[in-house]
Amino acid sequence: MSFIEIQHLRKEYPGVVPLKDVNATIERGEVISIIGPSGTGKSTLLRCLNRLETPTSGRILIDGVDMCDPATDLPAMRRRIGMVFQGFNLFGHMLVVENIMYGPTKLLGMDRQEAYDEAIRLLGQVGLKDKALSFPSELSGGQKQRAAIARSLAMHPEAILFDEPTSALDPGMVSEVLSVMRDLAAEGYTMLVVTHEMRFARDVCDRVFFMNDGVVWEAGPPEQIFENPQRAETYGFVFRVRSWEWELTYPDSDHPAMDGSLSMFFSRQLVGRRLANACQHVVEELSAERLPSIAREVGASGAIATYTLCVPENGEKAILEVDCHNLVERGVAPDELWHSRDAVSDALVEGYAVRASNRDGSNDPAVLVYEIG
Amino acid sequence: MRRCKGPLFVLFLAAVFVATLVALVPARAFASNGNALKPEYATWSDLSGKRVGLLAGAPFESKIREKCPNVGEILYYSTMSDTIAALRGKKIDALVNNEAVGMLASNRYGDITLFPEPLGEYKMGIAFPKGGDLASKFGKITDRLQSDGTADRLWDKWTSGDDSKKTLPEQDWAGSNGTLTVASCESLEPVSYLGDGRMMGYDIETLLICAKELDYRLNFEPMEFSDVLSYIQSGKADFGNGSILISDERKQAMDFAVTHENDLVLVVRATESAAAASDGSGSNWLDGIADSFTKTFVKDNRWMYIVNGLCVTAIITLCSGVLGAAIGFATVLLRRRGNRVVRAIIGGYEGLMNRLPIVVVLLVLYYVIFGSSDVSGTVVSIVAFTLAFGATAGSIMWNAVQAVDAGQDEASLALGFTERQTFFGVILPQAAHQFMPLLSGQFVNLTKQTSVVGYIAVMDLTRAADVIRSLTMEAFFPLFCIAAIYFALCCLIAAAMGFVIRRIDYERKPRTVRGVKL
Repeated sequence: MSFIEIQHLRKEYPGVVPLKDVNATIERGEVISIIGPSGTGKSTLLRCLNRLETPTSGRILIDGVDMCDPATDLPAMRRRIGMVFQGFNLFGHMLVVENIMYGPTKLLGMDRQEAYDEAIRLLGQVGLKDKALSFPSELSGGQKQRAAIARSLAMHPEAILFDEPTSALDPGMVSEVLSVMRDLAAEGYTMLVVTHEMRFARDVCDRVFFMNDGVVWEAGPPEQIFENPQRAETYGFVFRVRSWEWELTYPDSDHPAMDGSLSMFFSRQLVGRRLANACQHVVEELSAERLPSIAREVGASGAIATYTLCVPENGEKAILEVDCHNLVERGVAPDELWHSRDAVSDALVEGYAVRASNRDGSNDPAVLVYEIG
Repeated sequence: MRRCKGPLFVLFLAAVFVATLVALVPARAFASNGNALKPEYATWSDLSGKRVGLLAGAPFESKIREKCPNVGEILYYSTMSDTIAALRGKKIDALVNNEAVGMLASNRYGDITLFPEPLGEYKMGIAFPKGGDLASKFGKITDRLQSDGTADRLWDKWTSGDDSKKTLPEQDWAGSNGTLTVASCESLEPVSYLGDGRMMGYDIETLLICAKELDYRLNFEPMEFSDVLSYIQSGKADFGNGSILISDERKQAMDFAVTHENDLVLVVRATESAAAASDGSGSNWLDGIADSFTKTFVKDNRWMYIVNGLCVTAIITLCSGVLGAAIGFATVLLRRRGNRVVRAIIGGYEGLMNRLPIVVVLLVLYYVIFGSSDVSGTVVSIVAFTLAFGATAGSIMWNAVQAVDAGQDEASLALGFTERQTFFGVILPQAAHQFMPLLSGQFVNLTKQTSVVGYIAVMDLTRAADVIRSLTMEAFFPLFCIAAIYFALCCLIAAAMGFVIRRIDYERKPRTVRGVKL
């Protein structure tokens, strides 16, 4: 039997159904990231696991205990599963070290001195030994979250649920928390992490759940989710996080407007200047020479192509899709399109590789795909 | 800051009082012989458009209008001393009462005197609830006392200037027919008044003579005149007295036994020159203060009124403060656990109490809800203020509990604490940090609000001052004294609450961990 089993879990609110039918199993020692668009039930799922939310239907078995059974001793089960919140939720009326001692002394009956020594050890582990006698309000966000992790560790949990642990942090403080979580993963804790930190999900986790529309849409090792997603929505979420779209017209195309729109997209998305230049170069060559010349040959006019430019989360590369269905309908041979595509991709734009590729092997001949970066 | 400056404030306030008295006292006079003074108004037509003050509950308005159709506004006061103070302070131009009371008042002060023409002769007496047999039993005896001359003898005794003869017989008879509760007006010297801590006067002695013959024991409850009538009609007293005028209208609601028949008189201010003449009696303002102090505190052990009143105020405040806080806390617990119905009921209770004047609550509880049961006014006051303070405290506490971040709840539950442990261990300490200062302020407020319990004849601090003012006809000195006492009491309470607040303030806590060697 798996450590955690989730069967047909459903949660309804009036007017909203964040969880429709969630099924999953988690083994001891696994580190799992839950990713997905906002409002798809990631946090709700996590909160159902320790019953901060009551599911509408379905079953959750933790170590064989049905969490939805009214006879289950919930406080006792919760002691075995730690939780780290987006908002830290340290107890404001206690010192940091008292926050950490609170559970062990009151719930596990630990001697105060023993609990204190253990709390100090845990604070050392998360790098906050010198903050033991501070109040939570005196800590920075990253320090609060590390203290909250220490508080959860003090109960010696069998699994820890992390509910967007870095979402409320300033960018500079994210890494200090992720680094603590990395250490915990290495120590073999069972962890479920709802996160938007794709790199953490990719580098640290054993498996990634992509949640969409109230279900676990796709689950698999990070290599699958991040490099070879099996479902279009996963791909869309992982890669099309940020996109720019433009419709190219012939013969009257407004190049200055297109350039301006593209520049604004790059600056808004904080894309590096070199990558931006490379993308602009490709778009310009297609718009000014390749596609107009093809259009001229077949006598097409009006909208001849649609660009979709995506910059995935890490901002290291860009994917450009050029939808040329209008040209193909006008009788342009796909071979001719592919020839133009390769002509552009063979160039090295200011040191950036531009590779022609078609995703998924879907091979829609009317869509040209470039990977820039 | 309260801790060091509180006593200083009290001293400061006391200094302000003394200064105010210094400013006020020279204007006062202590001469007697008001009879000889010339009245400001001498004919009925002089009173046209003038304001006349009456005791609340006295039905003299139509009688004045018979004599002087164009009389101005009629104002009602709750005690005789207030009415006299209003006359002397020119807030009214005349007051009406029976001859004995009017005479005494004009003799006390050099600046007021009797209007030359009486309002007419009327029958006054004891009022009984309609339909009982007590009225006729008492009536037979009072009629006899008037025909055999006893009444005249008593009248002379109580209206004379010789206070030493004004003593009452002890109730040394068996009282085999039971004890009767008498609602007695406390401010109509010499007919019915509080003197030396007990009811005295012509009416009182007449009643004792009747009670001895009928073998009842009497339990006098002193109160304001308007309360006497409420007491009789609500059945809280077996009968009431206080020179109650016997009118046809009143006969429809009550039965009467006639105790005396005499003139109603008007008291008006004396003319300026006469008042000035009586002022030059040689008394300076320092003697005035000493005299006021003696009359207010020393004479007849009147300080006992203040001490007893302070105790009553303190008991009502403390009991309703503690019980109210307990009720408020209970509503918080119920709201946390309860369903929509429970929450609606609590919301309704708070809404009701927050929108009703406390005086109205007191009156309704006293005369309607506890109207026929033998519950003391002090207990009713505690109930009323407990209900009111419970609503205030409850909403303050509930708001503070609501204001604690929901994440605190979740973090505690997620650690494995029960709902109960979470509330008492995590939520309440943080909520208390927020609501205690507010609650402390409301507690001080409560102390001040209790000053209205006089409405249901509870002898609290304010009422004690009223009684002393009625006895001494001193309008100001007792008021300044109780103002100082209220101020000191509120400072004391604020200081005590401040001590508690500092104790639970975790931000002031030393940075150590209990039971641990760091």
